[in-house]
Amino acid sequence: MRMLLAALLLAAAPFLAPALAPKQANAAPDYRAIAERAAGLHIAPAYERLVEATAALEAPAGDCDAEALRVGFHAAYDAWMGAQHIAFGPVEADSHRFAIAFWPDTRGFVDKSLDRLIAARDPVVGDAEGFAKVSVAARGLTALETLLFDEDHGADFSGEEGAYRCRLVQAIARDLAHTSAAVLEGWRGDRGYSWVMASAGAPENRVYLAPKEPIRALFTSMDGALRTIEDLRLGRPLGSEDRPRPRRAETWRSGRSLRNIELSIAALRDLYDKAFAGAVPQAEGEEIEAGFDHAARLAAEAPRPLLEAVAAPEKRAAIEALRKGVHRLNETLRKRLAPAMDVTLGFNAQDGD
Amino acid sequence: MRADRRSFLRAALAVTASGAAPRLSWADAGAPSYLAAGQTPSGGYALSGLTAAGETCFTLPLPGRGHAAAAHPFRPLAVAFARRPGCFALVVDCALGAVAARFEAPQGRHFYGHGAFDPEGALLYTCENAYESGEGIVGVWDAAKSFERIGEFPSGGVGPHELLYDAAARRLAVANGGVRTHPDSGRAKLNLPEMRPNLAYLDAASGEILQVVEPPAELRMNSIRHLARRADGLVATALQWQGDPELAQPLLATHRFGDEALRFLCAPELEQRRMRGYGGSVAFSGVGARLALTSPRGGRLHVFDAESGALLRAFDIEDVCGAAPDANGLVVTDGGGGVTRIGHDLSAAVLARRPTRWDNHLVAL
Repeated sequence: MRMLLAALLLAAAPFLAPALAPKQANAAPDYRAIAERAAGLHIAPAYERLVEATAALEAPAGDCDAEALRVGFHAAYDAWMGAQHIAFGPVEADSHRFAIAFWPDTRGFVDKSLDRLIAARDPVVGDAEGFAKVSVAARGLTALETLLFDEDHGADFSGEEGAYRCRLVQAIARDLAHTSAAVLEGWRGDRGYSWVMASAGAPENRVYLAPKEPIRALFTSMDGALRTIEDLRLGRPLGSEDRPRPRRAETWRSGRSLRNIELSIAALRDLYDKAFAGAVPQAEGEEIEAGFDHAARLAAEAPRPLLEAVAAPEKRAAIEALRKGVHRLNETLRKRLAPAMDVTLGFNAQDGD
Repeated sequence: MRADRRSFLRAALAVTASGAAPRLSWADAGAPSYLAAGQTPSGGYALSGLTAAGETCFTLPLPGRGHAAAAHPFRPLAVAFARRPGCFALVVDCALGAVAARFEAPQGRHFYGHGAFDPEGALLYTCENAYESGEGIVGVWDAAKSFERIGEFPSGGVGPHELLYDAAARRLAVANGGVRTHPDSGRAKLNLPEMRPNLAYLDAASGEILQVVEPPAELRMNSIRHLARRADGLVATALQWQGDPELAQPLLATHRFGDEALRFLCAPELEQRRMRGYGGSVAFSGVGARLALTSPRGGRLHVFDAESGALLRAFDIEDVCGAAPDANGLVVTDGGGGVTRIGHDLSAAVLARRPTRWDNHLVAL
């Protein structure tokens, strides 16, 4: 599968290759080329990896091999971090985003929904169509993490209840693969979202009325993803010094909160490198790359696990520094990338209240 | 000279507070027709009074970025709330050019940037977030006693963003946006998968919830944020779609107390897409026949016929957001400093272009 995709990408390379020479200042950016590169070189491969990784969960789910399931969960979450920042298109339809990962879960809906299914031994787990209508909180990667890593019952597939938990894991794995495939499918085909991005401004395009619009959507996605890291992945668990809130961290049970941040920054960097870098003047490009490098380094060097670091006074500073670095990266994109793309971000338009 | 006048006025206000002398009115503040917060060219923040002709009649510094102001019905007092998730409010005396009082949200609460006085100017109602539980709260403050808190009640939902006072019915209309936030994580939205916005009507005296109207299930992610009210009691609300920004969802709805459902107003699909899922402000025109919806994200203003619900005209105005009625038509403000009048005949005229970047809302006095 991978090989085939790589071959396809190579064949498409003449149309998709990022321009390596920095663009001359003042020339209008080639919006169509940027949109095509984003869709073909970054977004489609990201969803392809998600489809592969979620499909790969079905085998270990078959016999509830706890170790293999945990490995598979990490691979699937890694793949989701490569795509989670894409905040438009098929993933926003039918609550797909939340069906893939229900987070933040501020009111414990994941636990409650799982408990309800388990207590009732709800037979819906045997029915793929029925399970697709179950609350998004009981589907997806957050629910799977709970079933595999929970302190009390994680990966406990023994006895009658364990057998039901195993069937629940199977249902989630199948549903995840199905949802991911539906999202990827939405990007492909005759009038798929890849076409929608590349044909912005064409009369038959009913989504983007001007060539600049998909660029704005990409930019909004990057801004949203960096805010998610700053506010949700870091701000919420940091809480206050007197009252850190470690269990608000994303995927704290599986201890991969900081890995998510690293991968999310890397995904944004990949989007920038593949789609934008060739169209940005050199000085701006260098500043943006330095911003990415700085944030990535802070994430790589932050004390692990986040769960402990936010509650340890001597380690909080490094987490705060990461938060600031992510904030600064977002500022840099706003001040350097947005003007280079001639995307206007207004006083009110950006305030969003 | 100016200082002398100020200290005289201050002394007059001190007397006023004891209830003896005649009080200052909005005329003493230059008779503004509107209040607007904004950012001045120096980068500082301010609250300004604008006349009907779009002239600035005062500009008073604010310690931080404002959002909207609640205007006292006859005294020249404006309550400027710290923008979400701010915890303090400043009572600005627009005649004296001074902060008359400052008050803070109770422990564990923050303001949403909007509030409203009762028609006597005796009470101020504020939208608040009890952020640990996520419950929406309406705070009640005694405006005569330097804004002492005297009560509160549940807003009927999560994230009460704006409220209006219906003087004839002694009723509050509250836009419960449905989006849960916590100050630890700024404005990050914590409950999109399960959000349920509503428009709630509350008895202004008892806080009793008289009616709650929700959007239909497929529009559950349409956050009810801002409100306008026509003299006959018709309420209009501006919505913010939290799902795919590329979907052309309706962003404007009207409702009459007692009616079962919201009535959604929407432009034809391609035009609606230009609003980018974001209704900024809503206003009825002066004669009440038109309904304006701004979208700063789309740089687009829609003017609807309030009766038929048809889109009458759309205007391109970069970063447009504030909207309020004028004598007949409408006035809108934008982040580029523009003040634009839209006549009843749907003509557009730029009244002024100031160096101040006008913030989200324009409050009619």
